[in-house]
Amino acid sequence: MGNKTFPLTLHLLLTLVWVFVALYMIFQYAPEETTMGEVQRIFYIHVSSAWTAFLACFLVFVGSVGYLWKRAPFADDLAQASGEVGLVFCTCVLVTGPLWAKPVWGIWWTWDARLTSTFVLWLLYIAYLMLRSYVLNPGRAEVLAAVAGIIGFVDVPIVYMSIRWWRTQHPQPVIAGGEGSGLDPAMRITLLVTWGAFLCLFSYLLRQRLWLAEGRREARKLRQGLALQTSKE
Amino acid sequence: MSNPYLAAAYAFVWLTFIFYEWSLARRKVRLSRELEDLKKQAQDSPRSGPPSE
Repeated sequence: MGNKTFPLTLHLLLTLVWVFVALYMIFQYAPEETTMGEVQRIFYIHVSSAWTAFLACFLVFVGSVGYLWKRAPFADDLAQASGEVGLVFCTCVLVTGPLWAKPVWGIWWTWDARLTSTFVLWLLYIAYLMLRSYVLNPGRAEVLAAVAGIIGFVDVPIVYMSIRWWRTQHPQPVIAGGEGSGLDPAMRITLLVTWGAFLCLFSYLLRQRLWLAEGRREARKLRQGLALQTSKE
Repeated sequence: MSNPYLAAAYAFVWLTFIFYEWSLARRKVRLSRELEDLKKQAQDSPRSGPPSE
């Protein structure tokens, strides 16, 4: 699991420290937003989860392309692991969003372009993981999953651009948005530190999930070897 | 953190991560045991033993 270069325990410790720094900045350093008040602090974990879920989706795409191109088992492991960890972050986006929307918009949910495309992304993650577990033929499962991983990635630019392309209930972008958009410098640095903490957490979870994928492949090989021996006897 | 929506959002996120980490740890333990058993079986099988003269 690459423990020799950067031990997992050290990775966990770094993640915890980073998370505590992020929490301190969210609740002590970042100023309170004037119109929404305290509830706006959901923004930091909501946006960080969303960006991390996008990254996970990109890794699924890269792993899928890599597997179809080189048939490298690691590429498939990366896609599978990123898909599962990405689903966790995407779930956080879909839960924290309505918890922020209710006190601010007065509704939990609306089927606008941003919310709907994010919900579709979440469904695509689930479909991708279900496809992996239900197709039992090992070689076929990896190829089908890789194709699904590549097709599913099409939704990511749609989610990202939806608030630029269509009029939505969801607010316009505050980072890399148009004229008049922007974020208070203290809020921006807090967001970046929080996203850093989420990336550290993502990589920590991904390493463990990768180890599971590699271990399962090793177990499958060992079982096949033993079955072959038994059949010869 | 007096706002209940804010508290719920933060509680959900951290509990989700803790639950997922717990699920990963459980699966790792189970897989480690399975791998150990399989390796042991492979070692104990006659073909992997010392060659007979």
